[in-house]
Amino acid sequence: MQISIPQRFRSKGSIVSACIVVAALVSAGLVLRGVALYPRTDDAEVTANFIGIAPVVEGPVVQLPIHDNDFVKKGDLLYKIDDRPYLYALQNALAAQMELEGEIENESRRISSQVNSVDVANAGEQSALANETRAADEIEIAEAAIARSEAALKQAQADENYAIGNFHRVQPLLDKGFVTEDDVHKARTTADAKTAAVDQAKSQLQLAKASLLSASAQKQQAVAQISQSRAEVKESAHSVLVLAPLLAQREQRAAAVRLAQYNYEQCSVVAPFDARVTNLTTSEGQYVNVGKQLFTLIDNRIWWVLANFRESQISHTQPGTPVDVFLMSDSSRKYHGIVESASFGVTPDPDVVGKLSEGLPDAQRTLNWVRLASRYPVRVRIIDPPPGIFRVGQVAVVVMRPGHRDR
Amino acid sequence: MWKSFVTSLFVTTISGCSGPPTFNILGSYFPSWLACFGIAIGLTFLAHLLITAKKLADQLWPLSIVYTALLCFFSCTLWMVFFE
Repeated sequence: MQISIPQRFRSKGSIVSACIVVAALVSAGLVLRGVALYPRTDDAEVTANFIGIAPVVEGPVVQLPIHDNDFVKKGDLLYKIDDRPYLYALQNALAAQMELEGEIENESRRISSQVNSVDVANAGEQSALANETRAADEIEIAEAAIARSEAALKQAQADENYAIGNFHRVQPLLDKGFVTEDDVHKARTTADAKTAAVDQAKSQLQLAKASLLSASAQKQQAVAQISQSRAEVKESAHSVLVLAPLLAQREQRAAAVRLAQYNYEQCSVVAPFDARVTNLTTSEGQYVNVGKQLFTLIDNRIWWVLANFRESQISHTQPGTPVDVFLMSDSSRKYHGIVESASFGVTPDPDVVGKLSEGLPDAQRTLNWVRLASRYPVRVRIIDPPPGIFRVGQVAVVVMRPGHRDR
Repeated sequence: MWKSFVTSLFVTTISGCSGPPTFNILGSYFPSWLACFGIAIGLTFLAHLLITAKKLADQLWPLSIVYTALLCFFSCTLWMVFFE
């Protein structure tokens, strides 16, 4: 221990010491660099989507072919509810639909008959119009007959005047012996006959006038008939029924059938995807209500690891970054994953910002000198997960491999 | 022998093999760096025996920093070799 310090600097021991310190610094730097380049966390758990299976219809379970922890393929029957009430409801709805179709048929026939009665009323109107025309013709005929009768009367009166005049001329000549008794008698008879002819012509004229009155009355009657039959046409046209109310019910009945069919089909519940049955603790006979969860299905198609990374590491967890995943249950095996997304929110630390409450903010009075980084869940999707390995909640370790995109 | 050991360590580091970063001991998961630290303590002890045998112990200085650096070097190197 008599050696001075400058001599010790030159000795072999000093060089070895310096090498050891430098090697320690270099290795520590490399480790820090590796941790920064390839962020890792053991604060990770396996997860998958899961759904609660609840029935859409209610009733007792009659078939339950699955067991707890079974693997079910998409479309496999999970359980069946007693479907008889729903079958009967479907039959009821179908019968109601058929009944409506029958009513529509009946109503169509009734409407056809009403349309026919409108046609009949139209024919009545046509007939009334013809009657009016005929009455008008008869009026003209009657007027012509009156004219003819008047002419005949005038002629008969002229003949009568001549015959009476002749008789008055002949009668004085009988005393003087210029004419015979027979001539006078003939003249008187002729005069009487002509008077009777005048009476006959007068009565003919009366008759013709009466037929004119009758024809006029007939025409008025025909006009009244036209009005009546037109009113009848309108009335019958308005009283024709329409099918619209029944046709509108068609969709209603069809919808009732579809609903009944849907309810009937929902009695058999099938797996919506490849899944694992979980938390099944019931058997056949269980009465299930609408919306009451019976068991859980874990979606077996996609598995994730939710890894909590510090906020300072989030920038390294870009979507698409390759990831090595180790499961603690079998740490010798490495799985490949890919970053899908990083969370954008966690519950704020109540020790820092206080509790989120209504009213006034609850600000803390104590402060920490050293603040801890928040951790955000990063969702890592497992590439090609082998069947039957992954379970929700398994502990995992995740290592980011940003430079190994080709692996 | 000492130099060849270091060389082989660096070679394997560069080649980069990565093991599971956690050890399972009866249901408890211990971090890998803890194991590296434990082995590094043993390696440091072996190095101390070597140094003593070569009579370098009184030439190295300051001993507290040298052995701490040796422990750090072994720990980090083991971790990089087997777990990065």
